[in-house]
Amino acid sequence: MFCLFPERGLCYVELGTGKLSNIDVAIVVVYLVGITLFGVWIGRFIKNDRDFFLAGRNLPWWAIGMSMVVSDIGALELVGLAGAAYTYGIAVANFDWIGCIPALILAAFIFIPYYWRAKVFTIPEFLGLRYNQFVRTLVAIIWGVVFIFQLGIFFYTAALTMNILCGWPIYFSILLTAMIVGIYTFFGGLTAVVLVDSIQCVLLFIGSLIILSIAMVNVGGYGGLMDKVHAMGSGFEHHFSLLVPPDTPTPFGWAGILFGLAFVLSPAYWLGNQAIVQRNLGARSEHDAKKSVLLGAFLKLFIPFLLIGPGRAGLVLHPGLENGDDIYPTLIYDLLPPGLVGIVFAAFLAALLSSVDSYLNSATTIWTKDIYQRYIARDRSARHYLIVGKVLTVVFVTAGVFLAPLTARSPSIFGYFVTIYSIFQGPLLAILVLGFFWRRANGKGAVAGLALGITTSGTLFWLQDKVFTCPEPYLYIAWWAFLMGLVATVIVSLATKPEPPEKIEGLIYRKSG
Amino acid sequence: MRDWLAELLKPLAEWLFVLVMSVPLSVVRLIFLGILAALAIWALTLPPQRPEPVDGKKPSWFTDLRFFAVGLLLLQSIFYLIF
Repeated sequence: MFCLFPERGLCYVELGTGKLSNIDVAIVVVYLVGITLFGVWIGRFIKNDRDFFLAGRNLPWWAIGMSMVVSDIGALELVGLAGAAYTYGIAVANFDWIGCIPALILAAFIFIPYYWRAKVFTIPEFLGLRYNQFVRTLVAIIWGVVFIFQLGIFFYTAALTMNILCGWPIYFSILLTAMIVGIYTFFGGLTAVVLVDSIQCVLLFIGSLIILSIAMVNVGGYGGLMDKVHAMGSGFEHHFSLLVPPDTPTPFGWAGILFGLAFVLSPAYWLGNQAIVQRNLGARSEHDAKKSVLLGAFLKLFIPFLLIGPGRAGLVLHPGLENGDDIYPTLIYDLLPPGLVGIVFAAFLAALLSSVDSYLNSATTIWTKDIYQRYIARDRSARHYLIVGKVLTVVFVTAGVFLAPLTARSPSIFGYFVTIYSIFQGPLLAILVLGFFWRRANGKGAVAGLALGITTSGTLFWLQDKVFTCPEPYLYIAWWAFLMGLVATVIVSLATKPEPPEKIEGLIYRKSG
Repeated sequence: MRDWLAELLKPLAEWLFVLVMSVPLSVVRLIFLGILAALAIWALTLPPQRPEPVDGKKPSWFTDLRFFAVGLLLLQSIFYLIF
């Protein structure tokens, strides 16, 4: 038994010595040492804040596309998506299909080109240009705080799986991942993040393919899987449907998927999440930035097969698990021979590190450019902001380590993740979309939209067990928060003075480019 | 306060629930496919999305990113037709 905060009753059970053989350990160690040294080596080329935060705007498109995908698929998705597929069926694939592809196409042709041309470092900075500095600061603080909490979630997810696989104490795993990702992000900035991510993307696909193949062979192929799941009874009738009725006991009923995910959470994430978009800002050209997004969309098509497939097979191989999130590590432990465990475990670490590095780098960028440079130390040298960025990298890694135990209180890690997002993503999307498409939207309207939207989501979360019929109704809450944010922004903008036309020139979408 | 607010919102929540429950899944599938089709048509109406000309040579049609977008949406539609 390992206790992190014994006074809060927060202890973890060590599940034995795990299944990592010497060869598995060797693979994992070579991988971890390799990417760390690679990041340190890249650090030699980082001379100023533009290099550190935007990779000198010199990133190749293929690396950006791969990095986008693997940053989105953290250890959280490996564990959480497989867990959700185990519990609820393939409806969770909507998160990678309708909840991804359309938004990425809109990102490629509308949003990313405007960000790239504006030469901004962050999305809050863009909102500051479009609206005002108060909106910029508000959004920067929201993102900046959420990213730090998210680091804690990532660390905990990884530690949970390492605990099951290797029997490592939770806190040791948290410290290990924090140290590795901290080192290469500290030295190499966004360049290290994106290039290491592209290696990790290859590893993630290989590792996921291995576990998918072996799991599917064990259940007798796709036909065998279907037969066995259907034989489990009427509770599993929708497990092979992407579209399920809203009265199904899952958070993924079609209405929530359409209104909450496809219309709100997905665009908010792919168009406005700094941790995702930041790498596109570092593309060599506008065309490269667009191309990288489409590559990301293409790779995303395969994710449900790779990540959700093992969760589905796990339902047949290990029925009755109390917590669906246990299925992915359980499959690794149960199915794979020595050597392959090492590769899949390295893939798992790749998924984890690729998300942590992105959120860490983005949190650092936001706090340096939108808060520190704006309010504390203006007009300093590029090297000064580089040093501040590096110091903040260390500070945020440390904060993430101490926030990790909070995640242990949520029954579903994936639900915890999207719950945080659905509180403010809807209102943020509302002001982003209105800012792009409606000249009349102004700063006062944006503040009102954020305030009412966040109040709406907070209230609905407070009332969720009394108002909604499904578990974890975050998709519906995101929709209503978006709608209220939209309404408030429109009403207040119409009631107040518009932004001067010269201020918003080049920031409003025109089909001709 | 919590109970009062919940009572206030409950009738609206129930009405919306009955409304979405009355939509058959076949229609829902058509809505999803319709969104993907509309997006593909919109992408085709955009100006050409080719790279900047190099040495005065105009890039060929297959470098136009609009066609890649349409291909992606087509693949996506197939998944929603199958599952």
